[in-house]
Amino acid sequence: MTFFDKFLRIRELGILTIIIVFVVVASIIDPRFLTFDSWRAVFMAIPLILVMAMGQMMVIICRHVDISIGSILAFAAIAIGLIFIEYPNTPLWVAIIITAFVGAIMGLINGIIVTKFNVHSIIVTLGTLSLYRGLVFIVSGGRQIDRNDIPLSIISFSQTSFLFSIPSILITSTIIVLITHYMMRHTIIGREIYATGSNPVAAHLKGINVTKITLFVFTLCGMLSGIAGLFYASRFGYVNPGVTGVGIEFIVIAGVIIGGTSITGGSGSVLGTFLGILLLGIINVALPVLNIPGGYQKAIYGVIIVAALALDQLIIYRMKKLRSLKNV
Amino acid sequence: MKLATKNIGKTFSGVNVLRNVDFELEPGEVHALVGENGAGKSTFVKILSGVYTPTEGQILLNDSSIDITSPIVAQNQGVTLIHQEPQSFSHLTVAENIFMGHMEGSNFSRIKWSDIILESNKILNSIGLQIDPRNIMEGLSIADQQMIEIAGALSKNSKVLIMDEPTSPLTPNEVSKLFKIVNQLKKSGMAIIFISHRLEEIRLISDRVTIFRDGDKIITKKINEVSNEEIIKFMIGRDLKKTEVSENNYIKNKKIILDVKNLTLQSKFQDISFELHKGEILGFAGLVGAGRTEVAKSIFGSELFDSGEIFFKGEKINNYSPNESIKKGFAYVPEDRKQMGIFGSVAVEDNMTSAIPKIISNLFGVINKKRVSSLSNEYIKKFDIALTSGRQLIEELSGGNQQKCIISKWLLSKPSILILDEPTRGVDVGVKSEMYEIIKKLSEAGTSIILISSELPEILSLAHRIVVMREGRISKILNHSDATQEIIMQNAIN
Repeated sequence: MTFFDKFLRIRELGILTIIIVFVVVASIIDPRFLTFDSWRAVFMAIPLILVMAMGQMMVIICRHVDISIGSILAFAAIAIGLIFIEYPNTPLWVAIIITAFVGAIMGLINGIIVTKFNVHSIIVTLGTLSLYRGLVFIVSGGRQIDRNDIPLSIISFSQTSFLFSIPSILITSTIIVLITHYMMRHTIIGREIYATGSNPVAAHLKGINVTKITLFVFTLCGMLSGIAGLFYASRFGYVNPGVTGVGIEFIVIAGVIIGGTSITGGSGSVLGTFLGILLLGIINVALPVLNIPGGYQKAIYGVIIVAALALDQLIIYRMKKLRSLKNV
Repeated sequence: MKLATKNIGKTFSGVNVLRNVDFELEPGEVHALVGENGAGKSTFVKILSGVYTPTEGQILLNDSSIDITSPIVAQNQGVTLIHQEPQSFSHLTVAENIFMGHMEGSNFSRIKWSDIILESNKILNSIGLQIDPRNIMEGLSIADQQMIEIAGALSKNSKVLIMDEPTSPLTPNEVSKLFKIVNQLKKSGMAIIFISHRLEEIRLISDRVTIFRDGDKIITKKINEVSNEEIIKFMIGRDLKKTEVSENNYIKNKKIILDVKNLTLQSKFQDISFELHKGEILGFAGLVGAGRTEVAKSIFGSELFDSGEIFFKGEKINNYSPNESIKKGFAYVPEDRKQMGIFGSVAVEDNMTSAIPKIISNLFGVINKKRVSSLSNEYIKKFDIALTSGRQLIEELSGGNQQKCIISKWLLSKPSILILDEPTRGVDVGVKSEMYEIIKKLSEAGTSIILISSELPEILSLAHRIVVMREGRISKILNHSDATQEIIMQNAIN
């Protein structure tokens, strides 16, 4: 295999091309887009989404989907907020463990309903999306967690750090992304997740415990969404029962799919998902910089998502053709 | 490893599909299993490979009794089933396909990629397969995927390989490649069970042959001590009392109503030509997978075909769709009743009148409920359909009664050509004979019928002529007077 051949086999090439083209075009229209502040905004926006996307990616590779993640995020955020009110001295690491645990339980419940009652995950998580949101209101009594309820150590988590003043939230999410990559690429359970999504019948025949794998991915997805709840509290400095995490599943799922994860299961990569989320982050920051009126931003955001999906398919198709031409 | 069974039997919801099977498989032997569809050979190998657990009897490995409760238990004991349609992970690499499920280590241990690729290379080389184990599975031919499944079995040190019709999706070239490997495995002491409908292949590759019929093991013979004719005799059993098929007035006139010429759908059927006369019952015999259903669907217009022509009453049909066909007077009763024949959660009446929307509605498309009831009641009485009322949901009826409803539905549309695909599958003997009477009466009334059936007695007692299909082609068209079970079977297999 020549270097060029190998290059053409990289699945993430499509999305990478789109990112580069978008950045170049945006910078030509308005050079302000290339400033440090814009990119700081991009990289401050994505850690939360990225962490959730890691879990969602595993679920989608496994032929499922979890649309309750926004409510899981909100519940974990409210829960930790209430704990902060009672115990203002809760250390960061304890807060992470608590939110991870709360999220994991909620994800596990999703997984149990999906596997035990054999209901499609869209229906199950559509139900728990509403159920968990309801719990948020019940537990909080509808009250918002305010900035002065959240300990300073938590707020500074998303602002400073020990390392070149790169915010700790970015470092933490990078670590989570790298661990996910290692797990999916190099461990037995990672490959079994791919196998289960690729062909569940064959997976069962090969002795893979499909139920266990399904529970595992839902639990991890919930856990990471729970941790994202802490990120939210840290970064935005408030948790509102009716606002926090609402509609976030749309961005996360869109990013995962744009990143090349197949909704029919079996394929997808951490690198692709990262690029998908990065693209959405860049667009989100670019639209206001490019002076697009607020009212249009959402519509244009949607158009770009659809265009990116179509373009990605086109690029993949062209690459395949180029490859087969070379092989003849 | 020596594999044997004693008195193995299997019952599915009260139906005894396999009885008292005693069977022996020696190491270094290729043992062929043959039998008609539904004879029990597939059930038998599924029991051996852990897909089903037997209702009675025992399995012996090297003379000691073992319980095979799942495919994994079977594989750990060294018994692996190679599926007819390879079960592979198309997104993963060849090496992963070989080792999935039995890689060394616990859940979170790092996979030793270099070891796995090295091992895969060794195994692939040993069966003469030139594939880079790092390649993605997607895009490999069925034959290669099958070989990779065999490689997976070898990587687990399997001692017994069960191959369920491995050759049916393969080209002749690929078959000979597979046989080379089978012979090589046999020399190394592997015990192999080989299911096939092709007798020459069985003659070429196997040492012994066991014949199944209607859930019983009939006999095991050395392959060179039994002729093809004898094998077919064992498969179909005792001679059938020949019934007379009465000719009606229409048949004598031989008026051609449907003329099919060189119909071809690549990969499904080729060069199908036959005529259908007015009032005739034309039987379609052959094995499952011979392409009979596909031909029927193409004629009805629910599936496309690549080339060929169909003439209806002398006129060429240009427009193919179920809608057009129904307008012309075609009716199709599909094989898969639940999926394609009924609207399950809808009332019997509405099911029965669903093919005649114009007749039951007024100018504005509003349905006249009285007409629905009166039309359907006529057939409910005529066919003696057991139900509480016409408003009962059709899914609550028994299979036989559902089938009567489906046939009524099409009779209400007054078809000139009725296609019946396995009309008596899963219905009891009483309903079966009622159904035969209905079919006969229809043909006497001038309806032309295409009857697809895998039950030879059914075809022989109803059809005026019999089209035998084999692997997508018509191998023979027989007149009723010339047809016997043996002749049909000889043309259906080989």
